[in-house]
Amino acid sequence: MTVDQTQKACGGCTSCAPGRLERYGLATAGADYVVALAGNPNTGKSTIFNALTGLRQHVGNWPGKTVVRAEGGFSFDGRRYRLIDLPGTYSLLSNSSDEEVARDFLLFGQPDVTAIVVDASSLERNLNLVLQVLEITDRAVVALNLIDEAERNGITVDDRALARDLGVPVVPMAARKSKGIKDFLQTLAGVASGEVVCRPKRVERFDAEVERAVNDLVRALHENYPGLPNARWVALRLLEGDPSVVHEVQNGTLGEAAHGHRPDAEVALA
Amino acid sequence: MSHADILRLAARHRERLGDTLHDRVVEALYSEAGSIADKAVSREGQRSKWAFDLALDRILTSKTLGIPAMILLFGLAFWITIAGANVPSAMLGDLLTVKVLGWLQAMAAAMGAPAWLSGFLIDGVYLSMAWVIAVMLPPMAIFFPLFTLLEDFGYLPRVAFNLDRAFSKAGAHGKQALSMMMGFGCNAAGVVATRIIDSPRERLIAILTNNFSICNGRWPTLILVGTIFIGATAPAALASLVAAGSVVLIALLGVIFTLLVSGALSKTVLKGETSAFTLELPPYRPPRVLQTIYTSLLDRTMIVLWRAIVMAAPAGAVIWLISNIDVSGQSIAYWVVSALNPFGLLVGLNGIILLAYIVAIPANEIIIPTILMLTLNLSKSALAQKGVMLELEENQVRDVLVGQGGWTLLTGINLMLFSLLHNPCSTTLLTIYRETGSKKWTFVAAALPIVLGLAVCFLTASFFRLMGWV
Amino acid sequence: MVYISLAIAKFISTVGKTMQTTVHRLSEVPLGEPARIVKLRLTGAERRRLLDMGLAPGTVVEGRLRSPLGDPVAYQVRGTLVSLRRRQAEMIDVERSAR
Repeated sequence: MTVDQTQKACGGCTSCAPGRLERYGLATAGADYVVALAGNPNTGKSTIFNALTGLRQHVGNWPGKTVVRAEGGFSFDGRRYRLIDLPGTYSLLSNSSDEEVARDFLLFGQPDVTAIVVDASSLERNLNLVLQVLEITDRAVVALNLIDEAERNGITVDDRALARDLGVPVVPMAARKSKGIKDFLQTLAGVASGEVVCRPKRVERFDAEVERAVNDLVRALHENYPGLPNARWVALRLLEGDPSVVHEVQNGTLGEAAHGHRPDAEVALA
Repeated sequence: MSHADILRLAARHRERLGDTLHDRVVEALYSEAGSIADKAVSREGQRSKWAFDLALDRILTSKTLGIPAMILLFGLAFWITIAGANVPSAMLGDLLTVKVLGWLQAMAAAMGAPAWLSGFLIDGVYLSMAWVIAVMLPPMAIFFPLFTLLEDFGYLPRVAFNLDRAFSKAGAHGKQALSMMMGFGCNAAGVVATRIIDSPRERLIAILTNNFSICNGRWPTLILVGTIFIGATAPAALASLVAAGSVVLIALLGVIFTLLVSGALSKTVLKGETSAFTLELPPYRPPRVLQTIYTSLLDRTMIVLWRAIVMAAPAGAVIWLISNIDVSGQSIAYWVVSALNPFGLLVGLNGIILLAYIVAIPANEIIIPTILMLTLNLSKSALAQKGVMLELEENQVRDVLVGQGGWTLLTGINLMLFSLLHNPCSTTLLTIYRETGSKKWTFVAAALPIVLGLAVCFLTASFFRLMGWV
Repeated sequence: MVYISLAIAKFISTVGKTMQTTVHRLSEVPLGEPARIVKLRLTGAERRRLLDMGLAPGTVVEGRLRSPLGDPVAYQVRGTLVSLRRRQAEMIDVERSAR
């Protein structure tokens, strides 16, 4: 079922409890699902984190303010979630410690759903990270935040078109004004539980030489780790010689890391 | 295929592709991002917002107006803090150090508590806590929300942008300008703010020099001494202007020291590469005023209360004890002051000041009350009650310090200098330890300012003596 | 003989200079003039950081603000303002629009 169809089907139904959000602050034990919150710095990620968990992470309008991994808990519609606020990063390809923390968690921490917070006013730059995240996981939701600002400045984003192109749900939000949070939560719940299936866009326009190398490695990876969901990403990282991915392959733990579902696992982040 | 085989395959491809792999991947991502964005985004009237932002930026970063605007904005923030905190501080002071103190003392008397116990708990521990709360809470409650509002608005990266050249010449990172600004509110907060600096070397420099930003706790001391000693040297009409000027001068001196010491550190013990400085200047956003004020207020109040209990209370206990425990007929305080006096006078301070700074390591706010109390006690003045910190009128303070403490203009100036250049308070030191994880660097953070402070005071004293002014 | 070699050398360098005028360093481009990035001559972490911020070959950038102390300069890059030090701008080769 596509996002649209699911929403249409559920829209008029009243049998589930009307979406009720309960904020749990720092209590994260016994969670049903793990949600990772990723995005560029300065996109209102922390605002969303605070809105969901009831915590008061400091929010500042300059890049790089959230510098430690923050965790919080909440429950929605009867299910408990553990929310991990990853450091704001522009990309996952470099080797700064912020990005490694984010990347390692997405790759090895196996969240049940990853929310990528995007600033509607600078979509192009933000999409860079979105596309990278979509190479790693196929369970993602794009939170198109700061929609109010964009509107004020005459920028309109066609979220349907965006969702079609990206292959994942896109939820317009204005977290500062508490708009769109409910939709966001419902979409998260849908993707996490598997009710909503995404077909994320994978970048296919690498030049021929790079494509050949990647496909070669992907084949080899599939031999050893059948069903590895993000073989292309792993292949790219191996080609670049990324230390943590190389390490996982050396130890043969890549397979475990790729398939585990560990809501309560203590994932060591730097 | 074995794991090692996979790695070898990857290595082979890597060699063939050369260094351009990363670039090509990035280019592909960007072109994809670009085409998706083009289809989804439509702009109308975006010009107006960008035009406003740009116009504002042209002013705030302009050659002629940029730095004055900065000084003006921060000056305004400081002025609002000081002026705004006056009345609440006085009210809180009255409530806590007079009314509540009175009740506590009455209660103790009614319970028949022994004098030493009530003295220790009420005059020592409680009074110290009360002082810190009365002095610290109002300014923190004003400064931090103001600062956070500026932050939310998006102005702070422009500050880093404006000052970057000065910092990079000093071998430091442009973002240090921001942690430096934060330090004017509270040095512990300033140290935490250094997290925005990625490179560990530059971060350490920022941490070690943060103390040269005069935190809220030191302003009252500077303002008081500035008014009494410096302002008094000017004609009455200009007195408060001169006093304010002297405080601003010390603050600027702090900035100069920040740059100089950063430069020295980066050329000696903390040599290394200057890291890339790519700072994004985000668009200006209207801050959520009420929300920010509320959150900020709550956070700072909690911190001040915590500090009062954990840091100020023990300090108060120590002060009371050393004033009231007698050894060979004199209080411990007397002996320590006598021992420290020769050295104190040498550097243009005195034994009482040195002792006060030792016991006030936990909290800068209680420096003046402690000095007053010690001065009065040791000169056996009628105003004194052993171990009790006091609130006095400005004139009375002058009389006590000059008349009974033997302070001169030199002492006043040196106190202001030493206030700038002494060790960080214990909360800050604790924070430094937590952020660096290194005992060695925490020690350096404590020792470096003291050594500088004593040296500068000594030089000033020597200069005064040379000129025959003292 | 010496004079001839000098003359030849001068001729070659003049020709060389003419052929190089199409590629400039970003630091040479005045504010307000758009330029397209051709090559990043930086390496390592710094290079990656620039790429992450959107300064990739093919991107058009435009200098907007100069710090009151002279350095750095803020450039408009894909809808955001990114500030670069002169040292960094010197290592970015750009193509200036035809004038």
